[in-house]
Amino acid sequence: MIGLLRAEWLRLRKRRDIWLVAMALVGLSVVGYVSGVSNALNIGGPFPADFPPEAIDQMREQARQELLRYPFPTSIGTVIQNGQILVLALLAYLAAAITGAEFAYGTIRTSLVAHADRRGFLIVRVGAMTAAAFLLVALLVVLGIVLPLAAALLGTSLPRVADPNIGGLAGLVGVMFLATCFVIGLTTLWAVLIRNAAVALVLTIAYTLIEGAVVGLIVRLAGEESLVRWLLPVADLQLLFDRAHGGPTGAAMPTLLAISVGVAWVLAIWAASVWVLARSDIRE
Amino acid sequence: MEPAASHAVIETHGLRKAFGSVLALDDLTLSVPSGSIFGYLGPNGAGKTTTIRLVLGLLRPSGGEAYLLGERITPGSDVLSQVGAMVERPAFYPYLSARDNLLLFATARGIAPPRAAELSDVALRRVELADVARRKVGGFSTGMRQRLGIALALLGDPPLVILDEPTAGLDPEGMIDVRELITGLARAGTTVFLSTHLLAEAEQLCTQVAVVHRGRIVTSGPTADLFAARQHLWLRFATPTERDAGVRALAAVEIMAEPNDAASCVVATEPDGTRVIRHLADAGIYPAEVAVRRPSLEQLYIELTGGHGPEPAA
Repeated sequence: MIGLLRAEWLRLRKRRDIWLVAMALVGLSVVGYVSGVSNALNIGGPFPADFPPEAIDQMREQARQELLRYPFPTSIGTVIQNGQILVLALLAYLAAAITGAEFAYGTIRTSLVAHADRRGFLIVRVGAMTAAAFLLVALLVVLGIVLPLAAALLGTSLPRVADPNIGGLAGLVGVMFLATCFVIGLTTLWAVLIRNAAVALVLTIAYTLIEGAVVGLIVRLAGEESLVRWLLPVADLQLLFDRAHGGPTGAAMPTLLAISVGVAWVLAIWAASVWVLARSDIRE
Repeated sequence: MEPAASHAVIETHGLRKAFGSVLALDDLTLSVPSGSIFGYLGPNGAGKTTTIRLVLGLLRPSGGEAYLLGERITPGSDVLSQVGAMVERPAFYPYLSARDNLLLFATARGIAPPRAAELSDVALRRVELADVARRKVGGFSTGMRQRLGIALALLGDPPLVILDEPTAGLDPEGMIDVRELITGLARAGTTVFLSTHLLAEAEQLCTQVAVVHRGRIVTSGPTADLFAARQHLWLRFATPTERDAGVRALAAVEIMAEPNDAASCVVATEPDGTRVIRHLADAGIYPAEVAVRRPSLEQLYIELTGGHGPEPAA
C-alpha cells in the first residue's frame, strides 16, 4: 500500500491541472472576497445630497450587515460559501480527468500489470483525491484567515464580529469536505463504469439535476415535511449546508441523521466504484 | 536452446473467454515450460492478446483456469508481481518522463524508491533509452514507446517476461536489438512468452511454439519437433523415366514416394534419407540430388490455420 501511495504521489504531483485548479481557486477566492468587500463598502455611501435619509439609514444598515461577512472569523465561512460550487466543480473535473485518463491512455492496464490489486489501486486513488480535496478546503480556510488580515494591512476597515458562530463554521468546513468526498466518489464511479472522463463529468452534473427533479416530485407527492427527500445525497448535503449557515431548512430531519445519510452515501459510492473496477474486464 | 527446467510457468486448462456473443477463446489448454522462449503465434484477432490479458488477470475468464508460476490466477493475484509484461501498445503517462514512468510503476510494485530509481536506470540503459530518460513520454515515437514498454517488462529481472508483439513499430536495427535482448534473457534463465505474428522472428528465437487460431490452439510443442514431424525427403533424378523407376523400386519395399514434378519426387514418410538411398542403390538407381526439406514456419502456419484470417469461433 505504501508503494501505491508513493506511485500516486508521483502521478498526481506532476499533473499540471491539479496545480492550475489550486491556483484558480486562490485567484477566484481573492477576487470574490475583494469584490464582495468593495460592493459592501459602496452600498454604505457616499450618497447624493437629495437621497432620502431613511433610505440612507437602510442602505448603511445593509452595508454593515454585508460587511460583517468579511472580517475574521466569518470570512472563513464567506470564502467557503463563495468557493463552494467552484471547489465541487473542480474536484468533479479532477476526479473525471484523473480516473478517466487511465482508460484513455490505457495506463490502467500498465498500472494493474505493475500492481494487480485493483481494490488497493482505486482506494489509494480515491484516497489521494480526497486528500487533495481536504487540502483545497484547507486552502479556503487559510484564505478566509489571510484575506481579512491583508484587507486590514491595505487600510480597509472591517467591523468586528461580536459573536462568531464557531460551531456553524466548523460544521460548514465539515459539510464542505463531505460534499467533496461525495463528488469525488460519484465522478469516480461514473469514470470506472463509463471509462470516459468527459461523459463521467456530464453524468455527475446530470445526476444532480435529475435528483433535483426527483426531490421536486417527492415534495409534490409526499409533502414538504416528508423526510424521504433528505435521504437522497445532494438534497441531504444541501440540507447540511443550510444548517451550517443557520438556515431552518428541513427542520424535521435530525442533523445527526442527515450527517449519517451523507457519510453512508459517500461510503456506498466509494465501495461501488471499487466493486465495479474489481469485477471489470480491462480491455484498454 | 532447450528449456532449463521442465515445469510449466504458464498453464491454462480449458480457458474460455466470451465477449458478449463473440467467443474469443475456446477451450484453450497451454503449457509454457520454464526457461523457454515460447512463441505464441496466430493471425490478428486469433486470441493472442486475449490469452495474455487472461493470464495477467486483466480479463476474467468465462470458463477454465489459468496458472502462473504454479498459482491460480485471479484478478489481483500476488503472483502477478513476479511477471514482467508488455501488452499490446505500451501505455504510459504522457506528462511524465520515461524515467518517472518506470519509477512510478516500480514503486507501485512496492520497490523502495532508491532501488526503484536504480532499476529504472538499468532498464532504460538496456533498451538504449538512457539518453532520453528525462524526456516526457508524450513526445516519444512509437519505437521509443515500444522500447520503454520492454524496459518496464524487464524491470527488476522477473522470472517470466510476457511480450506482446515486442518488435512492432521498431526499425530493423531495433528489431535486432530486441531479439538479442530476448535471447540474452533466455540465457539468463528467464522464461519469455513471446506473442507475435512475425513467423521468421518466432522461428529464429523460439524453443517452443503454439499456434492459436480462432481462439483455439491448433498445435504446440518444441519448435524443432514441429518441423521434424513435417520435414520430408526430396529426390531429383536425371530423367522422368529414372524417377518413375525409383518410385517403383521404393514402392516394392513399401516406401511411398509421390512424384513432384517432371524428374523429382517426395518421400513424406522418410525424413532420414539413409534407408531410401540404400534401397535405390540396391535397385541400381542413383538420384542426382537428395535433400531433407522442411516447411518454413510460415508454410507450417498456413497449413495449420488453413491460411485463413481471423474469425470468431462462434
